[in-house]
Amino acid sequence: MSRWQLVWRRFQRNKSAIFGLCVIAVLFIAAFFGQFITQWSYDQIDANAFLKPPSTSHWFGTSQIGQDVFAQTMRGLQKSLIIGFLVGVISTGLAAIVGATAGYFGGAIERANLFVISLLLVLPSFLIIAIVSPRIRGQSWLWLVVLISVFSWMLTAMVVYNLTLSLKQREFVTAARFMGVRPFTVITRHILPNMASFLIIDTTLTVGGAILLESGLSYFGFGVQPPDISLGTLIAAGTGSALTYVWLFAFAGSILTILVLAVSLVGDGLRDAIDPQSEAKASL
Amino acid sequence: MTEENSVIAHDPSATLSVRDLKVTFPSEAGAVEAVRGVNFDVHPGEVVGIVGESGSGKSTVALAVMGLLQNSARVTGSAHFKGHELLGLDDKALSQIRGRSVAMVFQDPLSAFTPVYTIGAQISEAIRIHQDVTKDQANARAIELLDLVGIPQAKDRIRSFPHEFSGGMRQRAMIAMAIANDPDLIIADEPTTALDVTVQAQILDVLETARQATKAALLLITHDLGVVAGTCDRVAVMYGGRVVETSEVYSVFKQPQMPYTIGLLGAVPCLDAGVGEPLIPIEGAPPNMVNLPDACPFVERCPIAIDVCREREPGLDETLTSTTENVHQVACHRSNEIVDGRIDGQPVFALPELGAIAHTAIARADREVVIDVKDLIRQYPVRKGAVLSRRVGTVYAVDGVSFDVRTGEALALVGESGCGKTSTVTEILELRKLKGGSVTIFGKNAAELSKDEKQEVRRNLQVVFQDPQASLDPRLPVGDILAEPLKTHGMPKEEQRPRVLELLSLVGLEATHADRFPAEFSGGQRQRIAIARALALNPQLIILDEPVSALDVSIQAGVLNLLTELRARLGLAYIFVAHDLSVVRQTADRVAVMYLGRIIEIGDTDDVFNRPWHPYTQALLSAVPIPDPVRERERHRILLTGDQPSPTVHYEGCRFRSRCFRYQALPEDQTQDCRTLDPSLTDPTGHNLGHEGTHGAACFHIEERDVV
Repeated sequence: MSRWQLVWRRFQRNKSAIFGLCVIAVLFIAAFFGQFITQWSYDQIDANAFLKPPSTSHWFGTSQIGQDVFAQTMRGLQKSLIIGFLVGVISTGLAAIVGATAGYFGGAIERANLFVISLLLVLPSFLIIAIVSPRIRGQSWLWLVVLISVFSWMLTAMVVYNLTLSLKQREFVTAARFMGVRPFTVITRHILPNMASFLIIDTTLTVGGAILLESGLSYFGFGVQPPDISLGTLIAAGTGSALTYVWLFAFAGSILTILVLAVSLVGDGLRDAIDPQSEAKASL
Repeated sequence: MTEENSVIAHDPSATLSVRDLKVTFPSEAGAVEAVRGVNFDVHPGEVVGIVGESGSGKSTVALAVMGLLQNSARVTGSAHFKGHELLGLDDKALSQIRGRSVAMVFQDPLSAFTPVYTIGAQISEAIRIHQDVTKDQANARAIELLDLVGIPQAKDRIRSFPHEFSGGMRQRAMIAMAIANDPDLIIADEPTTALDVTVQAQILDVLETARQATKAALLLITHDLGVVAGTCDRVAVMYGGRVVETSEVYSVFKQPQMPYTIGLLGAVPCLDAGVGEPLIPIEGAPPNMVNLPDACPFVERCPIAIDVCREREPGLDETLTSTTENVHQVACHRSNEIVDGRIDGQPVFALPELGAIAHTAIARADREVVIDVKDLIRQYPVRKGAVLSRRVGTVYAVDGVSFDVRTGEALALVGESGCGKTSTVTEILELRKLKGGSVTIFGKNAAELSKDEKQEVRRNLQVVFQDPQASLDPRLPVGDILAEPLKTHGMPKEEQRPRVLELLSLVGLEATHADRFPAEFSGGQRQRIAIARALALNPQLIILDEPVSALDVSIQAGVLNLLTELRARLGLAYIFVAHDLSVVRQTADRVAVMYLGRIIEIGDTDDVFNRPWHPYTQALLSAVPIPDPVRERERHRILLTGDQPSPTVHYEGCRFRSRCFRYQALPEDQTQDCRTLDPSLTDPTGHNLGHEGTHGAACFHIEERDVV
């Protein structure tokens, strides 16, 4: 039995992780295909229904100007998911490169990389993004992905750095070095693949954090800008009427909660399945 | 067969009587039957050895008896200690017995002590838990015990913390703690495995003293047949979770009747063999302990297996030579056909043929020098403080080492841990500017190589590490691992695959193995892969850093034979680093013995082993146990006092002086040189050893002595 089969088997035993995985799958399908099962599109206005509660034609109700809340929520979810997963991949990738080069080469590169990491760690990321974001207003939302990524990779990089330091001592790395293999080949071939499990877990957990951060920013108007919608902007728009017209706020809010919870459950499940420390626990 | 076993009653006179002990662990692949019906008795005052390779279940037996296994383990059967059942007792009841009537000595003495309390506090605690004495009395007893196990200045050392003791001293303290409550049984689980051979000799000595002081029985669990030969009264050989042969020690060693025992005895490298003589490997690997079929567990590796061996597992039955005083039991269908390790007049395990080493025809002086190391120095700074670290001292790891290796020659660097042997070879492998001395490799100075020259040297200089598990990237299939050096040194892609397959067959593996991952191989096979990788570029020199010390004896023999054979076929030169002297006996042409960063004796293997000159070499050789109870018990063992001194100090005079028995025996007026001068390698007449490859020792009072 291969290692990944074993991991999968252990993962399957974790009921909440499987639940989380199913929830994510359902949300993904809903976000990308939801628009095909309803007759309404997110930017369409139903002049006959303003502020209507959920009904058979508008499943999640309608907004003040007659937009279908279901279509909007799905559109927002789509954006939040894309941003979340992009940030997860980019920030972990960045962390892997910076951390591994710092650990493997040592010396000046190590000091420079560690300095950048520590510097970014002490900067208040939320404030900085808030200050920078007006400058990128009107430009692509991808800039937001870049901004969030830049501020969410440092802790991962520290872990990668430490893992690299210990992997560097391992004999297969020394063997490759004595064989004359080039340093970057050693990193990409021998060091990073051997921390793949950590990187995978970390990506998952970052996704949850990034979605929350994006929503928070959008809520305050710093994140996704109209006409784009994300869960955060929807929540922001709905808060004013949270108590009177519940559906404007509740659906986006609960989907955000469920999504982040599901991602965390999967992340935890992956960690328990991959991390050998939890092996004893799993066998009981 | 298990039905027969379960009816055997407990021996009422035995201190420990174990019947039909079975231990099962749950695992992803299914239940692991680690111990499958083990019976044995330990009588008062007797030393019983359980010997087996890793995975044979020997340690599990001890832990099961003591109730120290993890909760998920399922233990059945029965273990009577002086008539009382131990299995199934709750932790509280067991604690009354553990430490008081039954004491344990573990392999790793560092983890057996709590680091935050002093040694004395921990020993007196052990006394006060089980005996009603005052604190002062317990303390006095602790000092007495430490004194008994040979810790100097016990009165002061009692206030030391575990980390302030060396490995050997911790194990002594562990033994002191074990005998604190005058136990009836001491269980020692690999008590000397983590220790150097000279310290092992001391500890075995202490264990014997402790046993005599308490009159306790000793259950010794070990993988080392030499240790068994020297200490045990009776032996049980375990394989695949069962006892496969048991008897009094002399008959097991003299007339083994289970093929596994015969193979194991043949596979042990021996101090008194000759250079280039083959060892007898046992092919294959131990069985996977999940879903074992009803067959002899050894059948896949047994050269004399017949049909019945595959159909039914043999019971542990008495042999024809068994008598009432000396019960000899063997689990083998054909045991009665085996006499003196032979069946039908043929040896059970045939001696493999190895090619002759070609270079022996040319005199050493006429052969090309592959590597020439002169006065090599390697120092490590000792730093203190995490943020603003400052240098507080220096470890003189390698302190002036010189040797040369010629074409087709194997030089062994041997010594105990911390002697600088591994530092020496890594310093060579780094190919960088040296702190002192010079390395000339393939005729070029290693410190002044250009980038291209360096790559060229790397091509001809390869390395095999100690632990094949660690030296092969677990994420790459074997084919990619073997192709890596080829790719790095620019072999065209289409030529790589054929070369990989060629390499696999060269080290005795199959072509289909190329697509598997390292985890799917046994330790011995993995080391073969590592050797194949080293051979990929047809190097001239291979550095072998403890290549077999992580392997079991039966597997080790195969790898050593392979190394000898490859050297003969490919004309390779080796630098073979080892802590185990017997391992290099049959593999190396020349031996260099290292002590505290310096070579203290060098010479042809036969000379060094048969006529050692330096007192340290003599002590080292005499400490290596020989797997033959008759000879082992007749040998005179030179016990060194103390441990290897710290390498952070530069010593004036001879560095071995503090532990040297010859120095201690000399009259005062003859020790002047030892105290003031640093000896260089000379022969007995005081002639300095040049590079002509003769025998030399760094001692002012060379005296030949036969110690093997």
